Amino acid sequence: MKIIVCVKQVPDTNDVKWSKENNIIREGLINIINPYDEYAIQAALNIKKLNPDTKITLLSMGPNCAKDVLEYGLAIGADEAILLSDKRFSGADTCATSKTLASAIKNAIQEYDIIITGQFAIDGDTAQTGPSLAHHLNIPVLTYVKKITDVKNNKITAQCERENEVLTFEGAMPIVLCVLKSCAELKNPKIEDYINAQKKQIKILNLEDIQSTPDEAGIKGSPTFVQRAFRPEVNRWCKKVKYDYIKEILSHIREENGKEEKMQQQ
Amino acid sequence: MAKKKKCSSNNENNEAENFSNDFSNEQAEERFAREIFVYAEITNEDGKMTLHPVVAELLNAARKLAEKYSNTPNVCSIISTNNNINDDFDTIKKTLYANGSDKVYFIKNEKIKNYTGIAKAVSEFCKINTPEIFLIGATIIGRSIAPLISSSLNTGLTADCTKLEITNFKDEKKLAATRPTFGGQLMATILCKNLPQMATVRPHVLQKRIDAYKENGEFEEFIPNLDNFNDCLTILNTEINKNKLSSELENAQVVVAGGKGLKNEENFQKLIKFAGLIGASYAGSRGAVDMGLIDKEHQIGQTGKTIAPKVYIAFGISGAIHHMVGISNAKKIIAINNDENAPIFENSDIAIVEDAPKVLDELIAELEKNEIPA
Repeated sequence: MKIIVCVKQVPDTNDVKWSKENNIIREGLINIINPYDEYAIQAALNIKKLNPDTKITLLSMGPNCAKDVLEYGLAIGADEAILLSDKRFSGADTCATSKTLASAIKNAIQEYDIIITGQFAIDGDTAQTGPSLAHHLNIPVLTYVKKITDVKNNKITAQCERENEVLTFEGAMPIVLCVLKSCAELKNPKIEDYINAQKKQIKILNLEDIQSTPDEAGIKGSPTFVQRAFRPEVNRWCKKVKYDYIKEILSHIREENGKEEKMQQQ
Repeated sequence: MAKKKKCSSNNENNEAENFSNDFSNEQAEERFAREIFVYAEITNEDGKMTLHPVVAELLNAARKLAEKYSNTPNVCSIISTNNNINDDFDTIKKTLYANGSDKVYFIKNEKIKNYTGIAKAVSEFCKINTPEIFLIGATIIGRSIAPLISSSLNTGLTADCTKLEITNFKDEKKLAATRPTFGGQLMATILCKNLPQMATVRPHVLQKRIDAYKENGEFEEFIPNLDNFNDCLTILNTEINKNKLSSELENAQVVVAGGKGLKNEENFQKLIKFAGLIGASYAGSRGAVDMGLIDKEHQIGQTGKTIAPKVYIAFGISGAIHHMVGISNAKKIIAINNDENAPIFENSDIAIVEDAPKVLDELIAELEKNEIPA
């Protein structure tokens, strides 16, 4: 079986610092593997455990430094890795990104049974690339996958989270799975895993290698663009209450509860 | 501008000017705006078909957007199902008109079994009748179908928006969709070059209208051709998610929440007791969930729920940005924390530097003494 896991390098959003002009200071920002993608790799490894002839290919798009997350993925057990790196890929929105990934999968990887992505990326948090990728490959997609329960006979069974229910789906392969963190448990790689991983190679491919076109990739291929980026405004009273705080708290609750009653009476 | 175009040497500049020229040609007359679509997500609650609450919020937002165009395009609700019309359907239609819909498009095909079928059917309809703007709730289903539709229509999609406006961009009216990004640390306003301009919108952020818009409106059925569509997904089993409690939480007027500062189970029970005494819902921060004090269904923040109560009272929550994103639309935030430098104090209305468990004890004592519900 052939599994592709899409991974993204993201800035650690818990550690953002701001300049006086309210811009994000990018220097010193730590880049990490998107946390959901870590679980995606682990989910692939779990499938491999039950089907030993499985080959796991990691696929990422980004600058050269994104190799770090691929090295990590290889260390925890993926077999090979591909980095799509080309200036013409940069500035891509989810529409262009999914087309670029689809081109790479169709033209450079070719054979695959399962594609696993994290449900979200913590930087953009769009949750769009996985389903869009499935559309461009013309294959089905399962979203919000909570648990992969069975993989056999070219079919996959998985539990998917929905607003009021949990649905168990059976899907025909090839298929895209967008997974939540609950779908696998993480394991930390050992130093020797990293050393062994160095023997595995990371292939770097550009726009021509994946037979894409400049109009379909990067900023040129992106229908959306950012008009303005700004720091969220805070507009609160910030009133410090030192004494009689019990009274203060209860008065705000009573005020709102009182309003409700009035509205209901009307 | 047209003259400049000829002598331009750099490719990129040339493109940029072509782009602006395209727009300026239309400057004299405002382009006739197409219809605005709202996806009417239907949920099944105890065997009854009901509209997801976000639909009313989207319809009100869509009306406000429509009024910014001189031709005030129709706001249309899109319902897509394989179901035959049953008794609930009339109620649903009435609700859609009352909440701001001029028209209801009913897209049906027996091949629609789940979200992939809905996405396919709605895409086929949009190819024939392309809207100006298409709004979809950022629910699980909404966030699953929206990217399938936008990819199929080769257009952009802005995810999980919290604000929608119409802006003038190069002499054309465009949807400006604002969303939190970077874990809520940055807001980005995003525009789309193509039509339809699509966005998913976070529930419980925008307001629904108070008065009824219309009693009745237009209705049109559409049966898309899905002959080439093979649904490769089958539902084997459906289990009820224990989410009932959390929908109560999302609609609560007063929410009390606990964080790491509550330290243990015993203190957390006090929070739940206090919530009961004042008729509030209770919730927790990611820290409290990680400590096992409360389950994930009650988590507030970027990776949890977004709520907009009238009063939010945070006990022992430090106020990391990913938490604050979930309560940015709360009317009043009261914070209790023994660390006077906790970031939550910069982002709250009432700041109380005290030990959170102690304050809970005092509140409970006060309420029990008076025996008068707050």
